[in-house]
Amino acid sequence: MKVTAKQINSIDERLVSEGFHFMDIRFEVLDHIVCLLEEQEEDFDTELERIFISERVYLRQQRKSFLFRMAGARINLFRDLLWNPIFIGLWILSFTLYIFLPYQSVKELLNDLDVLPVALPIAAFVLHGWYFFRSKNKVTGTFAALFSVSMLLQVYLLFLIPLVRKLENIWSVAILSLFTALGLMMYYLFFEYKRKNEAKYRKLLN
Amino acid sequence: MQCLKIFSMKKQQQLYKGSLNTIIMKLLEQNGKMYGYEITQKVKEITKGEMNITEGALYPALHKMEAEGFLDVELDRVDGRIRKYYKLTANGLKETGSRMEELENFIRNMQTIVNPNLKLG
Repeated sequence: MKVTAKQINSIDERLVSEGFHFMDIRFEVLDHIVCLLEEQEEDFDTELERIFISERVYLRQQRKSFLFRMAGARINLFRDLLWNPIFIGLWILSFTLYIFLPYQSVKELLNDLDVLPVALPIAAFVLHGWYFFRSKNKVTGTFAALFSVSMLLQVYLLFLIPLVRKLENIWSVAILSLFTALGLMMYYLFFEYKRKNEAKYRKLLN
Repeated sequence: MQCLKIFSMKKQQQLYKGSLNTIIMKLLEQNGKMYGYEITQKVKEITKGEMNITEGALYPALHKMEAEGFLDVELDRVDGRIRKYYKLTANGLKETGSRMEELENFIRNMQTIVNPNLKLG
């Protein structure tokens, strides 16, 4: 049978309602279902129901795969982060700010602000969460920054804070400002990846 | 009779399981770029229905090979929907060669064990 654009849209809606929230996972499932439908001769609704039942194992597996793909979505640390002029700019800016803050000593500064890099991206997590529930056309790659940067911040929280406290000199301010810049990059990379990834698919959708 | 055929097919699927990635890579090497459903149909066609790659096995294998850098993805708009084509990367092409060699060796060894008098062409 020939599947019309309206029918394709209705399958897409159904996939969203069945938990296929990410566009880059959904379109492959959608194409597969439409291919199966095109092989059939009966009416659309009957065949669609039959396919959703016969393919339930495959659908369940694909639905679950988003967790692994989101976790596996990593950014290119060197290209997108460390060599990024915005990151370098933020690093220099936060270093300068820390140096000029009215603290008597590095020890005082660290006492008050050493966990700031971990606290700064909290709103970025909220942003990612809001976007996750709101957007129909999100792709897993947009969450790449969330996983990569939060892993780096965890390393800072668990292993580097004691080092920063121990050093108590200009190098500890350099490390503190490096991770501050990293935390701030969560905001920039979210919008950058969102723009880049979705533009790629939107061109194909319209 | 039908039951026996299904049972025998299931047994064969288990034997094919370990070679799934090599089969996919070989098909991509021969056909350039392919999409998921096309791969399942091609395998059915070549084996005259003897072998059936399930979607549950195919797509995770494709995604894994994509993540490993053996496959590249090309998106195209076909009949009102997006289609994801898979093709071999330069690394994937190299890997296909070595996996095919491994598979041929395996078949040769199995052949020697099962029927030492029969020689592969």
